[in-house]
Amino acid sequence: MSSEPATPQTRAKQIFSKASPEHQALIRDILREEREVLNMKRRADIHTRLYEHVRRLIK
Amino acid sequence: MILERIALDNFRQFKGRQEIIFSEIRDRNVTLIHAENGFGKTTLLNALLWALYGADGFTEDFEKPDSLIHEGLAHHAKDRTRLSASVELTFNHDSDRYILTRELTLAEQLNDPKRARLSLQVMRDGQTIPLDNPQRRIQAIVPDGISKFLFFNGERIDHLAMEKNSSEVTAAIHQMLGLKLLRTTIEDLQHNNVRGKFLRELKENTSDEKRDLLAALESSEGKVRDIEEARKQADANIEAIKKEIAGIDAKLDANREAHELQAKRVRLLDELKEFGAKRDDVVRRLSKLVAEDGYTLFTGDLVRRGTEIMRDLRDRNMIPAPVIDSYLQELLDSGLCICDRHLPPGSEEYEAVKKRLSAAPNQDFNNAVSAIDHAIGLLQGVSQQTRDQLRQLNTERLELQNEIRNREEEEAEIHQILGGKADEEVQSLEAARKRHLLEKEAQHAKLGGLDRDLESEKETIERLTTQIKAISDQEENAARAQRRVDAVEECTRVMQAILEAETEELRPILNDEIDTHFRKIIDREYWAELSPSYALRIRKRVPGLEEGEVVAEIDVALSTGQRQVTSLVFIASLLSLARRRSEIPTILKGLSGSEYPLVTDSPFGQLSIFRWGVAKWVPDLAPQVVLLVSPKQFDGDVADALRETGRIGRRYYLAYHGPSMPDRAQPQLVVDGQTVQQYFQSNEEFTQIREFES
Repeated sequence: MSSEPATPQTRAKQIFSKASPEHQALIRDILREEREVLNMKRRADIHTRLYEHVRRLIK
Repeated sequence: MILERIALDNFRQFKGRQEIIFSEIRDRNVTLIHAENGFGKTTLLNALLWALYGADGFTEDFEKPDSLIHEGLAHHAKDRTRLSASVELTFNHDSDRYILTRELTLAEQLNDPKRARLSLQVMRDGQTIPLDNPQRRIQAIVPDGISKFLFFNGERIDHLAMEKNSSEVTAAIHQMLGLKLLRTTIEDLQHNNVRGKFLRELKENTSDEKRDLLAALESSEGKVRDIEEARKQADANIEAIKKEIAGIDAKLDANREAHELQAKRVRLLDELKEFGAKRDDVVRRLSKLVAEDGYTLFTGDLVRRGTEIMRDLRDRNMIPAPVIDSYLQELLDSGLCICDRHLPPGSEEYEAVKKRLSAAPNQDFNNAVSAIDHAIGLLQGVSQQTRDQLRQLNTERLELQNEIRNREEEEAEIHQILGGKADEEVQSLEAARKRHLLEKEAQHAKLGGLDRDLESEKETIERLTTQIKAISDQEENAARAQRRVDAVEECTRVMQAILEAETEELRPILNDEIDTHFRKIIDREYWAELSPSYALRIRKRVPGLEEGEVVAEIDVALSTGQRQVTSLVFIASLLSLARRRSEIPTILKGLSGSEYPLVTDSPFGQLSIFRWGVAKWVPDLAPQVVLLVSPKQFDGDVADALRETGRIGRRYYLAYHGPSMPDRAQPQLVVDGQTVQQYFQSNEEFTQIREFES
């Protein structure tokens, strides 16, 4: 049975996969939040949102 | 983003409606706009930036940014709400067509010129649909962070290729290739309202001991911010001083009394840079040699003693072993001795051979003897080689040091002569030059001190952080706050590591692009690259002192022209990678490739000998290229090279009407044999955009 060779992981992916599942989830959440407002000049509530994400996930 | 058309209405000197239709044809992707200095090139570039980003987009050299409406019309306007300036930009992006309009009435200009109105419409299926949040959408299409790499004054782009601006280079990579998301997130997590807030919560709930440590940490972090601010200020001061010195040098060059010596000084300073770079390279090679092979210099006694021992053992026939155990075992097994006597088990002869077998060394012993011989020989060879190389590099270093000292002395002599001239202007310029040089040195010394303080403060922070973590909290609120602080720190660390890894993985890909572009302009002895610390540099190979010696690779001290070329090459490489971003592996999802135009004012100004090469290659800089050029920059090499490319799609010129012609301008413009009137005497001042007849 032949199988496709797996694509080698980039260094960034290796670093991410070494983080704990809790931190991986937190990073995903805050990146999603940041992506929404990335190029905006006024990003007043981004810090509040990040703060809330950390509070929600880290009990 | 590909530009289709820009239409200006009463924007500064562009009275009435004036427009440019950009060439979008791939094979003829260059739009040329000819204009004498003072006719409106910079205004045109700023009209485009204003349309996209409002007043925040203006270039630094755009004067009176609060006065955008044509002055003559504004002066005579009866109804301030009916007179306005506007810029309308039509462009394509990711298979959609957009019309962007920014408009400002005279009433608005007088009230708050930054409050211009913006609208963005997308054209789909023959219909025009207005879009909400136009500024946000424009930022998504072409973020202002990348605009300075797309729309810029070519004469001011050389700063990218300065060693100290490597942070600007990494910022450009992050901006253009989508890694800004990580960078911004890291900054936001460290913000006072995120990490700071959790730290405050921890402080409120924790023990007195930990609270004191947290206060110390806060104080150290504040000091780090202050030091970094002071570093920025010192850097800015050094830049300002350099500009002052450059201004003084230009004045000395223009002075008849000082011209000759100043020219000699410029040559000496260039040579000093070159020799300095060579010396630094030799010192680097010396350090590498000492670090890697230096130990061999101290092995003389060891080698001598080892050789003696080996010789002694050899003399005593102890090495190599004359008889090894496997041979004796073979004799015993065969039952026949080397002397043809039988060796029956239990016989006296058999026991005699067996006794020798227990004391005989094996093959490994002889192998070890050979290995020791080899190691001693190798050590001797490397030691001698290291000694020779060390001597040679040191001689080279001293010779270079000598060259440097000679030039420094010559330069000091020039200072003496110029300072002693009877001409008062020369005297005072030379005195001011010396004062600035001393101040520059003082600022460099200050930077050194700040760096040491920074290092020490960072060590303190590391120590305090470890101490804080070591104290476990009994109070649940405090323990939870500590977990949250730890989570923020850990996420920051992981994202920082990811950002560094992704940037590092882009470096060889970027270097391939940079090299490909660079070789089209500058000859083969040189190559351009991003150093491991992200400084843009030009390298060259230099032969050693003896024939056949391995050549060294050194940094070339860059002229303004070389820096400008290198910066342009870097931008072209980024644009090229931005186009094929989706093909390059990244952890971030949804990074698609995008095309961008390049609009540059005066790109050929400081290029000197590279003009022809750059002009020949400029159509390949980006999918669409818009060049604003003065006749002085264009005539000759640039005109010839661009004509040869056959890539000019559209061509315009700016016609100026006014009471008098700006200095050094000509009334007529001659381009490729076509003569047009570009200055018109008029009481009213305004500029028109006119297209060349094809």
